[in-house]
Amino acid sequence: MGFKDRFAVAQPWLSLVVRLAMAGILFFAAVPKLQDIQQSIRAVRAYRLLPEDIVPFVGTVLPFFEIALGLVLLIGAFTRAASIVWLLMMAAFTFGVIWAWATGLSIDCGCFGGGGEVEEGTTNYPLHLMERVGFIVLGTYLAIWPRSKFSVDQLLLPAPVESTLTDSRK
Amino acid sequence: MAKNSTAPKNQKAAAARAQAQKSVKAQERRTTLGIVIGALVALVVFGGIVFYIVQSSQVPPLDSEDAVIPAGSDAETGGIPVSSDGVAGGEVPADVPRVDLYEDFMCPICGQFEEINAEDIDALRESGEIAVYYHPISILDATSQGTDFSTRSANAAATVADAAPEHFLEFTAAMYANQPAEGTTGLSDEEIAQIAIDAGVPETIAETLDDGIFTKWVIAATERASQDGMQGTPTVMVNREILEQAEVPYFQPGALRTHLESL
Repeated sequence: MGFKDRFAVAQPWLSLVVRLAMAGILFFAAVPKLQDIQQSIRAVRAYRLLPEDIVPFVGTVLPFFEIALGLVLLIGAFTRAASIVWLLMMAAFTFGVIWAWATGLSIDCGCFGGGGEVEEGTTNYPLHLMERVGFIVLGTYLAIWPRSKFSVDQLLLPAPVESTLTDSRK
Repeated sequence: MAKNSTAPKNQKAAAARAQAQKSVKAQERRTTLGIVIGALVALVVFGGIVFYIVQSSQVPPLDSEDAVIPAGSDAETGGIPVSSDGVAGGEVPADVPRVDLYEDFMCPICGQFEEINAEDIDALRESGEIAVYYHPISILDATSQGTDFSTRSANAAATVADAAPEHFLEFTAAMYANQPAEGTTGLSDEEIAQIAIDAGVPETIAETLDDGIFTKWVIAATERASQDGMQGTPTVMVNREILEQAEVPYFQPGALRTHLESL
Protein backbone atom coordinates (compact mmCIF):
# COMPACT_ATOMS: atom_id res chain seq x y z
CA MET A 1 0.00 0.00 0.00
CA GLY A 2 1.34 3.38 -0.99
CA PHE A 3 0.83 6.52 0.99
CA LYS A 4 -2.19 7.43 -1.11
CA ASP A 5 -4.02 4.20 -0.35
CA ARG A 6 -3.15 4.36 3.29
CA PHE A 7 -4.37 7.94 3.46
CA ALA A 8 -7.59 6.92 1.74
CA VAL A 9 -8.20 4.43 4.56
CA ALA A 10 -7.14 6.73 7.36
CA GLN A 11 -8.74 9.93 6.07
CA PRO A 12 -12.35 9.31 7.20
CA TRP A 13 -11.08 8.43 10.66
CA LEU A 14 -8.78 11.42 10.81
CA SER A 15 -11.66 13.59 9.61
CA LEU A 16 -13.79 12.15 12.39
CA VAL A 17 -11.22 13.16 14.99
CA VAL A 18 -10.87 16.63 13.50
CA ARG A 19 -14.63 17.07 13.28
CA LEU A 20 -15.19 16.05 16.91
CA ALA A 21 -12.27 18.19 18.04
CA MET A 22 -13.82 21.21 16.34
CA ALA A 23 -17.21 20.50 17.90
CA GLY A 24 -15.52 20.14 21.29
CA ILE A 25 -13.64 23.42 20.89
CA LEU A 26 -16.90 25.20 20.08
CA PHE A 27 -18.69 23.78 23.13
CA PHE A 28 -15.68 24.53 25.28
CA ALA A 29 -15.73 28.12 24.00
CA ALA A 30 -19.47 28.59 24.38
CA VAL A 31 -20.18 27.21 27.86
CA PRO A 32 -18.27 29.80 29.94
CA LYS A 33 -19.79 32.55 27.80
CA LEU A 34 -23.28 31.22 28.44
CA GLN A 35 -22.56 31.13 32.16
CA ASP A 36 -21.60 34.79 32.15
CA ILE A 37 -23.27 36.54 29.23
CA GLN A 38 -22.41 39.98 30.62
CA GLN A 39 -18.75 39.03 30.53
CA SER A 40 -19.13 37.81 26.97
CA ILE A 41 -20.56 41.20 26.03
CA ARG A 42 -17.70 43.02 27.76
CA ALA A 43 -15.15 40.81 26.00
CA VAL A 44 -16.65 41.71 22.62
CA ARG A 45 -16.66 45.38 23.59
CA ALA A 46 -13.01 45.25 24.69
CA TYR A 47 -11.89 44.75 21.08
CA ARG A 48 -13.39 48.16 20.26
CA LEU A 49 -14.15 46.94 16.78
CA LEU A 50 -17.94 46.86 16.67
CA PRO A 51 -20.34 49.77 17.15
CA GLU A 52 -21.81 49.91 20.66
CA ASP A 53 -25.34 49.41 19.36
CA ILE A 54 -24.66 45.82 18.30
CA VAL A 55 -22.06 44.82 20.91
CA PRO A 56 -24.57 43.42 23.46
CA PHE A 57 -26.37 41.53 20.71
CA VAL A 58 -23.21 39.97 19.31
CA GLY A 59 -21.91 39.10 22.77
CA THR A 60 -25.17 37.38 23.66
CA VAL A 61 -25.87 35.51 20.44
CA LEU A 62 -22.28 34.45 19.69
CA PRO A 63 -22.21 31.55 22.20
CA PHE A 64 -25.58 30.30 20.95
CA PHE A 65 -24.22 30.35 17.43
CA GLU A 66 -21.14 28.46 18.59
CA ILE A 67 -23.36 25.81 20.17
CA ALA A 68 -25.39 25.49 16.96
CA LEU A 69 -22.30 25.09 14.78
CA GLY A 70 -20.86 22.66 17.33
CA LEU A 71 -23.98 20.51 17.11
CA VAL A 72 -23.85 20.44 13.32
CA LEU A 73 -20.20 19.35 13.44
CA LEU A 74 -20.90 16.82 16.17
CA ILE A 75 -23.44 14.94 14.07
CA GLY A 76 -21.43 15.49 10.91
CA ALA A 77 -24.06 17.08 8.69
CA PHE A 78 -23.02 19.32 5.83
CA THR A 79 -19.52 18.97 7.09
CA ARG A 80 -17.90 20.96 4.32
CA ALA A 81 -20.32 23.89 4.65
CA ALA A 82 -19.91 23.81 8.43
CA SER A 83 -16.11 23.85 8.03
CA ILE A 84 -16.36 26.91 5.82
CA VAL A 85 -18.54 28.69 8.40
CA TRP A 86 -15.94 27.73 11.02
CA LEU A 87 -13.18 29.17 8.84
CA LEU A 88 -15.08 32.43 8.37
CA MET A 89 -15.55 32.69 12.14
CA MET A 90 -11.89 31.98 12.79
CA ALA A 91 -10.88 34.52 10.17
CA ALA A 92 -12.94 37.14 12.03
CA PHE A 93 -11.50 36.14 15.42
CA THR A 94 -7.96 36.11 14.07
CA PHE A 95 -8.49 39.54 12.62
CA GLY A 96 -9.72 40.68 16.04
CA VAL A 97 -6.64 39.36 17.83
CA ILE A 98 -4.26 40.87 15.27
CA TRP A 99 -6.16 44.15 15.45
CA ALA A 100 -6.01 44.23 19.25
CA TRP A 101 -2.32 43.44 19.14
CA ALA A 102 -1.57 46.02 16.46
CA THR A 103 -3.44 48.78 18.28
CA GLY A 104 -1.76 47.88 21.55
CA LEU A 105 -4.89 46.96 23.50
CA SER A 106 -4.15 45.08 26.70
CA ILE A 107 -6.93 42.56 26.45
CA ASP A 108 -7.44 38.87 26.86
CA CYS A 109 -8.98 37.37 23.76
CA GLY A 110 -12.06 36.14 25.61
CA CYS A 111 -12.11 33.19 23.26
CA PHE A 112 -13.00 30.70 25.96
CA GLY A 113 -14.88 33.00 28.25
CA GLY A 114 -13.09 35.55 30.35
CA GLY A 115 -11.70 38.35 28.31
CA GLY A 116 -11.56 42.03 28.75
CA GLU A 117 -8.59 44.04 29.81
CA VAL A 118 -5.72 42.39 31.61
CA GLU A 119 -2.60 43.64 33.29
CA GLU A 120 -0.15 45.05 30.84
CA GLY A 121 2.40 42.41 29.94
CA THR A 122 0.10 39.47 30.59
CA THR A 123 -1.51 39.61 27.18
CA ASN A 124 -0.43 36.65 25.17
CA TYR A 125 -1.04 37.55 21.59
CA PRO A 126 1.51 35.16 19.99
CA LEU A 127 -0.04 32.20 21.83
CA HIS A 128 -3.54 33.25 20.83
CA LEU A 129 -2.46 33.60 17.23
CA MET A 130 -0.83 30.16 17.27
CA GLU A 131 -4.08 28.79 18.65
CA ARG A 132 -6.00 30.53 15.89
CA VAL A 133 -3.63 29.14 13.24
CA GLY A 134 -4.18 25.65 14.66
CA PHE A 135 -7.95 26.11 14.46
CA ILE A 136 -7.67 27.34 10.89
CA VAL A 137 -5.58 24.27 9.98
CA LEU A 138 -8.27 22.01 11.45
CA GLY A 139 -11.02 23.80 9.54
CA THR A 140 -9.08 23.75 6.30
CA TYR A 141 -8.41 20.04 6.60
CA LEU A 142 -12.07 19.28 7.19
CA ALA A 143 -13.18 21.56 4.36
CA ILE A 144 -10.92 19.65 1.97
CA TRP A 145 -11.71 16.17 3.34
CA PRO A 146 -15.18 16.48 4.88
CA ARG A 147 -16.00 12.77 4.65
CA SER A 148 -15.75 11.15 8.03
CA LYS A 149 -16.82 8.07 9.93
CA PHE A 150 -20.03 8.11 11.96
CA SER A 151 -21.40 11.16 10.23
CA VAL A 152 -24.88 11.98 9.05
CA ASP A 153 -23.30 12.89 5.73
CA GLN A 154 -22.00 9.35 5.30
CA LEU A 155 -25.32 7.89 6.34
CA LEU A 156 -27.08 9.76 3.59
CA LEU A 157 -24.68 9.00 0.78
CA PRO A 158 -25.92 6.58 -1.88
CA ALA A 159 -25.12 3.12 -0.55
CA PRO A 160 -21.77 1.85 -1.82
CA VAL A 161 -23.32 -1.18 -3.69
CA GLU A 162 -22.78 0.68 -6.93
CA SER A 163 -19.21 -0.56 -6.98
CA THR A 164 -19.43 -1.92 -10.53
CA LEU A 165 -20.73 1.33 -11.87
CA THR A 166 -19.09 4.67 -12.16
CA ASP A 167 -19.02 6.50 -8.90
CA SER A 168 -21.70 9.13 -9.02
CA ARG A 169 -20.23 10.92 -6.04
CA LYS A 170 -17.09 11.99 -7.90
CA MET B 1 -40.79 -2.39 -20.34
CA ALA B 2 -38.02 -4.71 -21.46
CA LYS B 3 -37.19 -7.77 -19.50
CA ASN B 4 -33.88 -7.08 -17.97
CA SER B 5 -33.00 -10.74 -17.52
CA THR B 6 -32.45 -11.36 -21.26
CA ALA B 7 -30.28 -8.64 -22.63
CA PRO B 8 -27.20 -7.60 -20.73
CA LYS B 9 -27.73 -4.15 -22.21
CA ASN B 10 -31.11 -3.93 -20.46
CA GLN B 11 -29.59 -5.17 -17.30
CA LYS B 12 -27.11 -2.39 -17.42
CA ALA B 13 -29.85 0.12 -18.12
CA ALA B 14 -31.89 -1.15 -15.19
CA ALA B 15 -28.93 -0.96 -12.90
CA ALA B 16 -28.27 2.56 -14.07
CA ARG B 17 -31.91 3.40 -13.49
CA ALA B 18 -31.79 1.93 -10.00
CA GLN B 19 -28.66 3.90 -9.39
CA ALA B 20 -30.31 7.06 -10.63
CA GLN B 21 -33.28 6.45 -8.38
CA LYS B 22 -30.94 5.89 -5.50
CA SER B 23 -29.17 9.15 -6.06
CA VAL B 24 -32.49 10.97 -6.44
CA LYS B 25 -33.52 9.49 -3.12
CA ALA B 26 -30.20 10.46 -1.61
CA GLN B 27 -30.72 13.95 -2.92
CA GLU B 28 -34.16 14.04 -1.33
CA ARG B 29 -32.73 12.87 1.95
CA ARG B 30 -30.09 15.57 1.81
CA THR B 31 -32.77 18.18 1.16
CA THR B 32 -34.75 16.93 4.16
CA LEU B 33 -31.61 16.95 6.26
CA GLY B 34 -30.88 20.46 5.07
CA ILE B 35 -34.28 21.58 6.28
CA VAL B 36 -33.88 19.80 9.62
CA ILE B 37 -30.38 21.14 10.25
CA GLY B 38 -31.33 24.59 9.07
CA ALA B 39 -34.30 24.55 11.44
CA LEU B 40 -32.10 23.30 14.29
CA VAL B 41 -29.50 26.02 13.78
CA ALA B 42 -32.19 28.64 13.37
CA LEU B 43 -33.86 27.43 16.58
CA VAL B 44 -30.69 27.63 18.66
CA VAL B 45 -29.71 31.04 17.28
CA PHE B 46 -33.31 32.22 17.64
CA GLY B 47 -33.19 31.03 21.24
CA GLY B 48 -30.15 33.26 21.69
CA ILE B 49 -32.00 36.23 20.22
CA VAL B 50 -35.02 35.66 22.45
CA PHE B 51 -32.70 35.33 25.43
CA TYR B 52 -31.08 38.61 24.43
CA ILE B 53 -34.41 40.42 24.17
CA VAL B 54 -35.68 39.03 27.48
CA GLN B 55 -32.41 39.85 29.23
CA SER B 56 -32.17 43.39 27.93
CA SER B 57 -35.77 44.12 28.86
CA GLN B 58 -35.30 42.75 32.38
CA VAL B 59 -32.39 44.98 33.21
CA PRO B 60 -33.40 48.57 32.47
CA PRO B 61 -30.60 51.05 31.80
CA LEU B 62 -29.66 53.20 34.80
CA ASP B 63 -31.29 56.32 33.46
CA SER B 64 -34.61 54.70 32.54
CA GLU B 65 -37.70 55.32 34.63
CA ASP B 66 -38.03 51.62 35.48
CA ALA B 67 -34.58 51.41 37.02
CA VAL B 68 -34.39 51.03 40.79
CA ILE B 69 -31.23 52.85 41.83
CA PRO B 70 -29.72 53.50 45.26
CA ALA B 71 -30.83 56.84 46.65
CA GLY B 72 -28.50 59.62 45.63
CA SER B 73 -26.53 57.55 43.13
CA ASP B 74 -25.55 58.97 39.78
CA ALA B 75 -28.08 57.71 37.25
CA GLU B 76 -25.78 58.51 34.37
CA THR B 77 -22.66 56.60 35.41
CA GLY B 78 -23.85 54.33 38.22
CA GLY B 79 -21.51 55.89 40.76
CA ILE B 80 -22.37 56.30 44.45
CA PRO B 81 -21.10 59.70 45.58
CA VAL B 82 -19.89 60.06 49.15
CA SER B 83 -20.06 63.47 50.77
CA SER B 84 -17.21 65.02 52.71
CA ASP B 85 -18.85 63.96 55.96
CA GLY B 86 -18.95 60.37 54.76
CA VAL B 87 -22.58 59.89 53.73
CA ALA B 88 -23.31 57.85 50.60
CA GLY B 89 -25.58 59.62 48.15
CA GLY B 90 -24.87 62.94 49.85
CA GLU B 91 -23.84 66.23 48.30
CA VAL B 92 -20.36 66.35 46.81
CA PRO B 93 -18.43 69.52 46.00
CA ALA B 94 -18.92 70.49 42.37
CA ASP B 95 -15.86 72.44 41.33
CA VAL B 96 -13.19 69.98 42.43
CA PRO B 97 -11.69 67.01 40.57
CA ARG B 98 -14.12 64.11 40.32
CA VAL B 99 -12.68 60.68 41.14
CA ASP B 100 -14.54 57.52 40.09
CA LEU B 101 -13.43 54.21 41.58
CA TYR B 102 -14.56 51.00 39.89
CA GLU B 103 -14.04 48.00 42.11
CA ASP B 104 -15.24 44.43 42.50
CA PHE B 105 -15.30 43.04 46.05
CA MET B 106 -13.83 39.77 44.79
CA CYS B 107 -10.89 41.44 43.06
CA PRO B 108 -7.70 40.98 45.11
CA ILE B 109 -5.95 43.90 43.41
CA CYS B 110 -8.88 46.09 44.47
CA GLY B 111 -8.20 44.99 48.04
CA GLN B 112 -4.58 46.07 47.57
CA PHE B 113 -5.70 49.32 46.02
CA GLU B 114 -7.91 50.04 49.01
CA GLU B 115 -5.15 49.16 51.44
CA ILE B 116 -2.74 51.54 49.74
CA ASN B 117 -5.06 54.41 48.86
CA ALA B 118 -8.21 54.36 51.02
CA GLU B 119 -6.79 56.63 53.73
CA ASP B 120 -5.49 59.17 51.24
CA ILE B 121 -8.76 59.23 49.32
CA ASP B 122 -10.74 59.59 52.56
CA ALA B 123 -8.54 62.47 53.66
CA LEU B 124 -8.88 64.31 50.34
CA ARG B 125 -12.63 63.72 50.32
CA GLU B 126 -13.05 64.92 53.90
CA SER B 127 -11.15 68.11 53.20
CA GLY B 128 -13.35 68.70 50.16
CA GLU B 129 -10.48 68.57 47.68
CA ILE B 130 -12.04 65.84 45.56
CA ALA B 131 -15.52 64.45 44.82
CA VAL B 132 -15.50 60.66 45.13
CA TYR B 133 -17.89 58.26 43.38
CA TYR B 134 -17.75 54.57 44.27
CA HIS B 135 -18.78 52.01 41.68
CA PRO B 136 -19.29 48.61 43.28
CA ILE B 137 -19.47 46.53 40.12
CA SER B 138 -19.60 42.85 39.33
CA ILE B 139 -17.23 41.38 36.79
CA LEU B 140 -15.86 38.38 38.69
CA ASP B 141 -18.93 36.24 39.33
CA ALA B 142 -17.22 33.44 37.44
CA THR B 143 -14.55 33.20 40.15
CA SER B 144 -16.79 32.39 43.12
CA GLN B 145 -17.78 28.83 42.26
CA GLY B 146 -21.29 29.79 41.26
CA THR B 147 -22.23 31.79 44.36
CA ASP B 148 -22.03 35.09 42.43
CA PHE B 149 -20.16 36.72 45.27
CA SER B 150 -19.35 39.80 43.18
CA THR B 151 -23.00 40.50 42.44
CA ARG B 152 -24.17 39.66 45.97
CA SER B 153 -21.59 41.91 47.60
CA ALA B 154 -22.12 44.78 45.15
CA ASN B 155 -25.86 44.53 45.78
CA ALA B 156 -25.21 44.56 49.53
CA ALA B 157 -23.10 47.71 49.16
CA ALA B 158 -25.84 49.37 47.10
CA THR B 159 -28.45 48.40 49.68
CA VAL B 160 -26.38 49.89 52.48
CA ALA B 161 -25.80 53.05 50.42
CA ASP B 162 -29.53 53.31 49.92
CA ALA B 163 -30.84 52.48 53.39
CA ALA B 164 -27.95 53.17 55.77
CA PRO B 165 -25.86 55.68 53.80
CA GLU B 166 -23.79 56.88 56.75
CA HIS B 167 -22.40 53.34 57.19
CA PHE B 168 -21.53 52.78 53.52
CA LEU B 169 -17.83 53.55 53.79
CA GLU B 170 -17.34 51.54 56.93
CA PHE B 171 -19.17 48.61 55.39
CA THR B 172 -17.17 48.60 52.15
CA ALA B 173 -13.91 49.00 54.07
CA ALA B 174 -14.86 46.00 56.24
CA MET B 175 -15.73 44.01 53.12
CA TYR B 176 -12.19 44.55 51.84
CA ALA B 177 -10.71 43.84 55.26
CA ASN B 178 -12.55 40.50 55.20
CA GLN B 179 -12.02 39.90 51.50
CA PRO B 180 -12.24 36.24 50.48
CA ALA B 181 -9.65 34.75 48.14
CA GLU B 182 -10.50 34.81 44.46
CA GLY B 183 -11.76 31.42 43.32
CA THR B 184 -13.42 30.52 46.60
CA THR B 185 -17.16 30.64 47.26
CA GLY B 186 -16.66 34.05 48.83
CA LEU B 187 -18.51 35.25 51.90
CA SER B 188 -21.94 33.82 52.65
CA ASP B 189 -24.99 36.07 52.88
CA GLU B 190 -24.91 35.64 56.67
CA GLU B 191 -21.26 36.67 56.83
CA ILE B 192 -21.97 39.76 54.74
CA ALA B 193 -24.90 40.65 57.01
CA GLN B 194 -22.68 40.23 60.07
CA ILE B 195 -20.02 42.48 58.56
CA ALA B 196 -22.73 45.07 57.94
CA ILE B 197 -23.98 44.86 61.53
CA ASP B 198 -20.43 45.20 62.83
CA ALA B 199 -20.06 48.30 60.63
CA GLY B 200 -23.06 49.85 62.33
CA VAL B 201 -25.78 48.99 59.83
CA PRO B 202 -29.08 48.46 61.69
CA GLU B 203 -30.09 44.80 61.86
CA THR B 204 -33.38 45.37 60.06
CA ILE B 205 -31.44 46.66 57.08
CA ALA B 206 -28.68 44.04 57.33
CA GLU B 207 -31.43 41.43 56.96
CA THR B 208 -32.34 42.84 53.56
CA LEU B 209 -28.86 42.62 52.08
CA ASP B 210 -29.59 39.24 50.52
CA ASP B 211 -32.90 40.34 49.02
CA GLY B 212 -31.20 41.39 45.80
CA ILE B 213 -33.01 44.72 45.78
CA PHE B 214 -30.28 46.27 43.63
CA THR B 215 -29.13 43.22 41.67
CA LYS B 216 -30.44 44.68 38.43
CA TRP B 217 -28.85 47.98 39.27
CA VAL B 218 -25.51 46.17 39.73
CA ILE B 219 -25.86 44.55 36.30
CA ALA B 220 -26.87 47.82 34.66
CA ALA B 221 -24.15 49.80 36.45
CA THR B 222 -21.51 47.24 35.45
CA GLU B 223 -22.68 47.40 31.84
CA ARG B 224 -22.60 51.20 32.00
CA ALA B 225 -19.07 51.06 33.42
CA SER B 226 -17.99 48.79 30.58
CA GLN B 227 -19.47 51.20 28.04
CA ASP B 228 -17.59 54.02 29.74
CA GLY B 229 -14.30 52.21 29.17
CA MET B 230 -13.89 50.17 32.34
CA GLN B 231 -12.14 46.98 31.24
CA GLY B 232 -11.00 45.58 34.53
CA THR B 233 -10.89 46.39 38.23
CA PRO B 234 -9.72 48.54 39.79
CA THR B 235 -10.29 51.34 37.32
CA VAL B 236 -9.68 54.89 38.44
CA MET B 237 -11.18 57.77 36.54
CA VAL B 238 -10.31 61.38 37.18
CA ASN B 239 -12.80 63.81 35.73
CA ARG B 240 -14.30 60.86 33.82
CA GLU B 241 -11.01 59.99 32.08
CA ILE B 242 -9.31 56.68 32.86
CA LEU B 243 -6.18 57.21 34.91
CA GLU B 244 -3.52 54.91 33.48
CA GLN B 245 -0.99 53.32 35.78
CA ALA B 246 1.71 54.26 33.30
CA GLU B 247 0.78 57.86 34.02
CA VAL B 248 0.25 57.59 37.77
CA PRO B 249 1.55 54.38 39.38
CA TYR B 250 -1.21 54.29 41.98
CA PHE B 251 -0.04 51.06 43.57
CA GLN B 252 2.88 53.01 44.98
CA PRO B 253 1.82 54.54 48.31
CA GLY B 254 1.18 58.25 47.98
CA ALA B 255 1.37 58.39 44.18
CA LEU B 256 -2.37 58.84 43.72
CA ARG B 257 -2.61 61.41 46.49
CA THR B 258 0.26 63.44 45.04
CA HIS B 259 -1.36 63.35 41.63
CA LEU B 260 -4.79 64.39 42.92
CA GLU B 261 -3.34 67.18 45.03
CA SER B 262 -1.53 68.54 41.99
CA LEU B 263 -4.76 68.94 40.03
